[in-house]
Amino acid sequence: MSVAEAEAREVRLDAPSGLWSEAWRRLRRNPGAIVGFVLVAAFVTVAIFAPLIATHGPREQNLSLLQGSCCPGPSGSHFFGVDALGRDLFSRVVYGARFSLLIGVVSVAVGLSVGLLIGAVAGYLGGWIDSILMRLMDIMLSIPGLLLAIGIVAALGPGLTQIMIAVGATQVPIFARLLRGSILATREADYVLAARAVGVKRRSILVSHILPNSLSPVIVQGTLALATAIIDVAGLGFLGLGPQDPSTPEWGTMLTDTTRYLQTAPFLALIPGAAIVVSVLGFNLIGDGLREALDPRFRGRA
Amino acid sequence: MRRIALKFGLVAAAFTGVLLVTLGLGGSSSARPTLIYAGAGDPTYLDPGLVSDGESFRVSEAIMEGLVFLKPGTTTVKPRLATKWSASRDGKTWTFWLRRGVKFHDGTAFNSSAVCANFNRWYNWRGAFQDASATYYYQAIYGGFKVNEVSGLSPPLFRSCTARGKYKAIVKLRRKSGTFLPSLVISSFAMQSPTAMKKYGADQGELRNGTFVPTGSYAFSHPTGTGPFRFKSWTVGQKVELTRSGNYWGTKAKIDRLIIRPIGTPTARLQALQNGEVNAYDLAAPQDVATIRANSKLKTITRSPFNVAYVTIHQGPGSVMNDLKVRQAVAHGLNRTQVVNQFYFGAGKLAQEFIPPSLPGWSSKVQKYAYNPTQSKALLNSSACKVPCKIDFWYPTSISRPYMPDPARNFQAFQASLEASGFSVTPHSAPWRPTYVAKVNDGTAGDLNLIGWSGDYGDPDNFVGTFFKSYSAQFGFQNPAIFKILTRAANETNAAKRIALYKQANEMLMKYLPGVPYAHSVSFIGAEKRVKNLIATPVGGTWFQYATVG
Repeated sequence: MSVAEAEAREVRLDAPSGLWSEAWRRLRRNPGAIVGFVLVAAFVTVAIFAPLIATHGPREQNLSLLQGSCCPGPSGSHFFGVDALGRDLFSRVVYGARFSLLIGVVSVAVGLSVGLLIGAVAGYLGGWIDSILMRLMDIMLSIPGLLLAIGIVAALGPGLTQIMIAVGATQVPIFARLLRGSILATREADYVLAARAVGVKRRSILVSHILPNSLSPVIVQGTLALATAIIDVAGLGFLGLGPQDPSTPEWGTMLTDTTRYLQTAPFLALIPGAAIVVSVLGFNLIGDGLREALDPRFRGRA
Repeated sequence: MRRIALKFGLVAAAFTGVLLVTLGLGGSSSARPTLIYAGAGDPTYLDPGLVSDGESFRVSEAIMEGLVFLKPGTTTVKPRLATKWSASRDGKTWTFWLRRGVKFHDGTAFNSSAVCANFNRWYNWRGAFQDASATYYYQAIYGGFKVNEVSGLSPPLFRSCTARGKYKAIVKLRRKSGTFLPSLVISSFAMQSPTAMKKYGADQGELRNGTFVPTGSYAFSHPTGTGPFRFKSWTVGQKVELTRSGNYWGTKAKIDRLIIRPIGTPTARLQALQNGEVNAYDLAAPQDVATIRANSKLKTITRSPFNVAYVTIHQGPGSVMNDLKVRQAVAHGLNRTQVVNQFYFGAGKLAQEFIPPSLPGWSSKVQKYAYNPTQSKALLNSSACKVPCKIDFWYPTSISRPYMPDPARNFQAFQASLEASGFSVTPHSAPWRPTYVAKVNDGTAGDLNLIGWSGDYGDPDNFVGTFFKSYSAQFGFQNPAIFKILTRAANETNAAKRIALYKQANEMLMKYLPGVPYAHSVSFIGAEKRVKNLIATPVGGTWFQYATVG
C-alpha cells in the first residue's frame, strides 16, 4: 500500500461515508451476498428456534415405524421421513443446525483468537519472534487441515469439544499469517509513524491504530472459516470422531449412520448432506461479498 | 494417463467377461456345468491346518475331509473318513475305525498310518508353526505341542497315535476331553495326503513381521485331500479353481468345475450375481435380501444361526453390577424384542440364552426377561444403585458382524430403553480393531458392552465353555458352581450326561446373568434360482458336493 492510498483510507474513515458504511452499501447491491444473508439468517433462525420448529424430539425413537427394514420415507407426519431408529429426520436436521452453528462459531472463535494474538505479536514485533512464530505456522500449514484435525482429535480423544478445538487449531495459522501480512502493510503507514512520533505507547499503537485497520481481511476469512469449520466438523463426525453419543443430532454423525442404508433409504444421506451444503454456501456467499465490499481495489466500482 | 488406465480397465473387464462366459459354457467335454461362487476374499493359505478363516476353509472343505463332519446344514457330528469310533472309560483313549478304499487325490492310500501322520504332524510342529497366527485352532483345542517353544503355551492334550492294522487308528490323550471328538469337525483337522505334504514342503514356514508364512509350495498350489473336489489352480485376487473328483468314495459332485472368486464388498458381490458373473455368492448383506428376493431369477439360501449377540455385564471391585438386582434391571431394561425384530431384516431370532437352539444343551427352561421398564426401576430402587443408576455402555464402530449388522443402531435402541428403565447411560465407542475387542477382553469396556460370538464347531463348549468355564476379565463374573459344571461338561465323554450338564449351566447362567444374550442371526447366500442343493452350513461354510446348476 502506498502512502497515498493509506492517506486516502484515513480520509475516508473520517468521512461521513466511512469504510464500513460504504462496504455495507456495496454488499447490499451484491445479489450473491443477499442470498448468503438469507441462507445464513434462515440457518441461524432454525438453530435458535429449533424447539419451536421441530415436530418431534431429536432423540425420540419409534422403532415400530420401521417395520423390520430401513426406513420409511417422507410423509405427512414426518416431512423428511424417519431414520434407522424411527427418529424424525426433520427434527434431527433442525436440531443439527444448533450443533453446526455452535461448533462453527466456537471453533472459529478458537482459531481467530489464537491466530490474532500470534499474528499481531509476530507482525508488530517482527525480528526473530516473527521468524520463529511464522516458521511454526508454516509447519502447521504444511499438514493438510483435516489431517491435522484428525491428529489432534486422536490425541485428545473423540468428542464434540475436542473436535471444536481441533478444527479451531487448524484455523490458527491461517488467521495468524493473514493478520501478520496485513499488519506489516499497516505498520509503516504514515498515521502509525505519526502516532509513534508523538510518543504513543507501542501497545496502544497496536491496539488502537494498527489492528482496526488490519482487520478487514480477517473478517472476510472469518466468515469463510465458518463454512470450512462446519464442513470439517461434519467430516470428523462422519469419520466417527464426533460426539461419543451416537444419538446426538449432529449432521456429520447423522451421515455416518446412513452409509449402510444408502441402497434402501438414500434420503437419509441426502437431507443432512443438503443441510450442510446450504449452510456452508450461505457463509461462503457472505464471505465473498464481504471480500469484494472491503477490498479497496473494488472501491467505487460498485 | 487416467483415460488410458480407464480404457485398459475396460478392456480387462471385457476380457474377463469373455473369459467367464467361456468358462460358463466351457467344460464342453462333459455335460456337467461349472459353478462360479463369490466369497469375500482370497483364501489365506490352502493348508487348513495353518489358517483359521472362513475364506480359506470354504475352499479346503471342498478338497479335504476330516474323520468326522457336521451333517451339511446341521450341527450334528456324523462319521466321515472314520466310520465309527469309541472312547475308553477314562476318556483318554479313542479308537477310530476308518473308511476303506479311500484314496487321496494324489493316489496315496488313506489308512491308519495317514491318520497318524496327520496327528503327529500337528503335535510335532515347531518354531514358526507354534505362532498363534499359524495354528490357532490346534492351540485352541490341543493346547501345546510336543516341545513348546513359544511362551504361554499350555501342556498338550495329545499323547500319541498308533496305527493298529490298516484301518484302525488309536489316539491317546493326556487328559479326559469331551471336546476332542466334536472339535475334529473343524477344517483345520482335515486329513491331508502325507506324501503330498512331504513332497511339496507343507512343513516349511517362517514368521514375517510376526505373521506365519509357509515357504513350501503345498499351501499355495498342491493341497491334497480326499474330498469331492480336487485342486486345480489358484490365481491370487482372481479365483481358485477346483475340479470334480471322479473317484470320490461317496456321492460324487454334480458339477465339473467349481470356481471361487474373491469379491470384497457385499454390494459388488450382489452386482456380480445380478450381472450373471457368478452363480451364487456368500455373505449377502441382510439389507440386500429383499432386493435379491424381488428378482425373479434369484433367491437366497439361509444359513441357520450359529452365533450369539449379547450385552456383557462387567462386574468387578466396586461395580454396581455386582448386585444381581441391577443385572436383572439391565435384562428387563433392554428392549431386545424390538431390536431383533426391527434391525435384522428378518435375519434375527431373539436369544434367551448364550447358545443357539440348534446345539445340544440348549434349554427351554431358562429364565426369560421381558422388556419391562417399571420392573427395572423397581429393581433398581431396591438395589444399591437407585434411579437414575449411572452406567457406562460401550459399542464398536466401523464393523458389521452377522450377529450385529449395525452396532451403533443396536446401541442407540438399547440406550433409549435403558434410560426409560431408570438408568443413566454414558455412551463410549471405539473402532472394532485394534481397540474395542481388546478393551472388551480386558474388562475395560464399561459396565455394559455390545459383543457377540460365532461358533467354530458343533459343541456347546465352543460357546458357554469359552465364556464361563473359568473367571474371565471380560465378565469379571465369579461363580465357582457354574465354572465347575462347565469344566465337568467339557471333560465328560458321555453325550447324554454332557447335555444335561450344559442345560443346567445355561439355566444357572440366565439366573445369575453375567450378560444378556439378545440375538441369534442367520446369514444368507444369494444365488440364481437354477442353482440347486447348495447348502449353507451353520458354521459358516458352503457345501458344494450336491450342488447343481440347472
